[in-house]
Amino acid sequence: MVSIKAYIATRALLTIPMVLILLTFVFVIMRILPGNPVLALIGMKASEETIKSLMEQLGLNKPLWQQYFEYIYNLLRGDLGRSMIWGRRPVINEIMNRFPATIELTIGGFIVSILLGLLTGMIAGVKPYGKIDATMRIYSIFVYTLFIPLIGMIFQYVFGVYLRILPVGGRIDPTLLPRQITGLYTIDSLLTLNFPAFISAVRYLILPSFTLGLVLSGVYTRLVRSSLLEVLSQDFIRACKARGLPNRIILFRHSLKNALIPILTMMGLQFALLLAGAVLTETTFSWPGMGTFLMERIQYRDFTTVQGTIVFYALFVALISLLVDIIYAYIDPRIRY
Amino acid sequence: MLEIRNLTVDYMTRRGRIRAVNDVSLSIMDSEIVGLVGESGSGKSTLGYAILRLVPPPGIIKSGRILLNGVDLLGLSEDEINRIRGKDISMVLQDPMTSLDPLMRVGDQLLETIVAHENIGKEEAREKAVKLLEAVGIKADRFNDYPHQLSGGMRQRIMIAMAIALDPKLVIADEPTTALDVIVQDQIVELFKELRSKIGMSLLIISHDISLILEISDKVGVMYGGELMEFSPSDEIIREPLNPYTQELLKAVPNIELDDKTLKFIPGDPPDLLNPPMGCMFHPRCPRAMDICRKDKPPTLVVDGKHVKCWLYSEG
Amino acid sequence: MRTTDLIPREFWRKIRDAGIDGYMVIVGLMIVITAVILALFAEFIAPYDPIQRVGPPVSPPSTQYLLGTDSIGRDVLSRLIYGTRTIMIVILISTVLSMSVGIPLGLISGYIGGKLDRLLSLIMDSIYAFPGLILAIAVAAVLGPGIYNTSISLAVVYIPTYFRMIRGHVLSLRETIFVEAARAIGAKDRRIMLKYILPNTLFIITVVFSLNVADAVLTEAGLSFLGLSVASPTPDWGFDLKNGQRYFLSGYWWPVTFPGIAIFLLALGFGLLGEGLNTILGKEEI
Repeated sequence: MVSIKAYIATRALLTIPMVLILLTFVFVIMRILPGNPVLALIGMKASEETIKSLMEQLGLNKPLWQQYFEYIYNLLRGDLGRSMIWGRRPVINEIMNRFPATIELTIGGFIVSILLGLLTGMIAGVKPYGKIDATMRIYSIFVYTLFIPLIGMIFQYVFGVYLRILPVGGRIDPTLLPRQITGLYTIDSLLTLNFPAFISAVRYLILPSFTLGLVLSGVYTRLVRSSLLEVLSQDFIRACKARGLPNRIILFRHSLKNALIPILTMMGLQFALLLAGAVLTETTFSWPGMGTFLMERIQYRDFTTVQGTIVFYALFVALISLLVDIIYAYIDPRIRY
Repeated sequence: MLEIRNLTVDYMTRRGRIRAVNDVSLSIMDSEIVGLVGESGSGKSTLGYAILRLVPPPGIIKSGRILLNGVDLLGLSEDEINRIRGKDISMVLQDPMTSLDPLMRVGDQLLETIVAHENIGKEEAREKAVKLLEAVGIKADRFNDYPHQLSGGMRQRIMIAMAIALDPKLVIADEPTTALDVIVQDQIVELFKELRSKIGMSLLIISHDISLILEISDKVGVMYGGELMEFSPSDEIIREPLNPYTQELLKAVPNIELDDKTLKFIPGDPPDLLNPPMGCMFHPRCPRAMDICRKDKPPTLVVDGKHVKCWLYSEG
Repeated sequence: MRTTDLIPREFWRKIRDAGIDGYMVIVGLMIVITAVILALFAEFIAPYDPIQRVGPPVSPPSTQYLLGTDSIGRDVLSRLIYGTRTIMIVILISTVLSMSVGIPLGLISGYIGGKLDRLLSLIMDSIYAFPGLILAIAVAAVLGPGIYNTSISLAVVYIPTYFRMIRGHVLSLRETIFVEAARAIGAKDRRIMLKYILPNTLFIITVVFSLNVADAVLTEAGLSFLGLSVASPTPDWGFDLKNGQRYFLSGYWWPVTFPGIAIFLLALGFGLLGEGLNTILGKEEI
């Protein structure tokens, strides 16, 4: 029997080619695609001299293979480069300022989407092939095709302007900013026992999380439904019934737990969807995360920061997919033992 | 103890109605082992599930009564029948590899069953669970294992431990040995016999394997096409099988003593339940079919405690 | 054989008998066909020039301006109709592009197998795992605005989807009897791929196409909302929605709501079509 450590080690090794491919891919996009990135990012009007000096500064005048190895070498040292504007700050530092906001939003969106998805998927899966099931199927297509900015704005209008019960943008009331520990305001305020800050952070988080979570919940509706149907048809559920276990226990302790395993394995891809959706959510709600940061720097034509941010996204996605597999190994006893 | 009267179960499939169990009556006495034998599709498993009201959809129990010590199970509410399942009547399923929740420790699954039916403390339940494991020949240190860590035979022992956990009056075992290899099969059969004499529960054992059924049972029911063709004490069946179908079944058993290893099959195909034959279900394959067999269903006759459904005996 | 399933009469019978999936296909088709008509005949349908100021800014919907005017007085309805053309062209080009890369690669990879297959799959899976919109943003940021550049950005995102689907399908087809038979009579690999395998993937391509386009509509709208799609003043739903955002919370709802609904409806149309077809044509491979 393979030990769990060996499993994790193998899985981690498998992440290396994935990371290399993604890094290479980013390199191809940023340096090889037609259209000089400097031109695209600095603008066509720049003088020839400016362009030339900038190319040199960025090492873009060297042969491609050399650029490539320098790029990989720097990344291995954990160096994402320096910004081209505002005092040439290290890109990684700037990203780290914005990253917690995105994490907070994606976690919020994830919780909403999994809760809505579990609810709708269970309703559909417990009574399959009927009217309720059809309704849930339509729900899943319907919410998936909603456009995040539109839904976000409608939420802003209804809850922020019309009902005036929730803020329409930003992360927290600036006067209540908690001391920074993790950068996640909800967590930091709890850690410092700053409850007004906590309430404020949660209030600001609600609308963006719901926007993101609602749109992505449709994916879970389908996953939960089909996974639950599969489990409910298995022998051991029948055996549970024959043992006279209460329905509640059969559903929650046995069916749902087993149904969640295959869903967990797909969580990495779901997370990519969340990150993509977060860019639009952040822009709609002026949420100061990675997405708004990326868009800001694209507008400022800060080429190195844009590249560094995309690389960071790639590394993050690879890390998440590794993490999901490790969690999976710990949860499923068939791998653990 | 358990009495099934005129039980009929239908599957309402898209292509039509399938009568899986047709007007079957049989009874099981206290601490009696009753075997139910038949080909696949004969309705024997459906009958087993019907007793617990667990016929899978699109199956429905059409009519009949199932009396447990005089109480009709078919008249109980969902809550009431759920209290009987696992407690008064329990079940051992065919494939032990898939009958346990793969994500839960086997001991916990056993505990859960006890706690669901008995109002006892955790410690007490745990002690009881460990004793049960020992009773079915599993060491207590296996308590915290997950199902995939156990062999098929051990898992079936766990299933049996769960089935006897609450001193049931009746255990239904649906092909309990089919998925196991031969040596383990014998061990499980021995375990059933041992438990019956120790605990005194009744056992309804369902199998396609007539030699297994004859070995273990006090009484044997023979099913064909959803109907109970014969229901008699085992030794009577061995001595003088009445129904031609039973006779054919017995002929098909390879006889080891005579060193006869050729497998014999009953010629013909099992009945198409969407378009069942007129008259006796078995007549298209019956070597002794008469004219009346093709037209009318035979009645069930009772002779000296033997039940048989065949026109051959209706005159005498 | 799958291809014969697409004979219209048989096909309509299936849709009629399919219950809810049939309705989904019909509603989806109606939306998509409407969008195609709007895109093709925008000049004849739109009441005004979409890029000219035709009335006072932010006038509410009225008989004169059916869906109102935007912040600089352009007719929202006309921009909506011309915007259909923009998004449909981008979708069309990008789909053709990603299909013409993804499908041949998937065919070859699945059919030949071995090291090439493993390498290509690893590359495609890695890209597939990357958030689509962010990938499109990166490409669009480097390439700059414009219909073709936007199409390329989208195409890059969806190549792995086509690749994965076709490859998976080819893997299962490769072992079927009629491919074996073709091989037995000495058909060349190229011929087997084009004559036997490709036609049999048409059905799956149709389904993946519909579901993918639903996604692509949202990605295009997202890019354009972020200001990375076609350049202003070309009518483009996502961009128009972005422009209206500032006024939306003050109660000027029409410059945002109508393009937003248009994006939703078009994505929904393709989504319903793909979902329905997927179930009716009897495959669960999304």
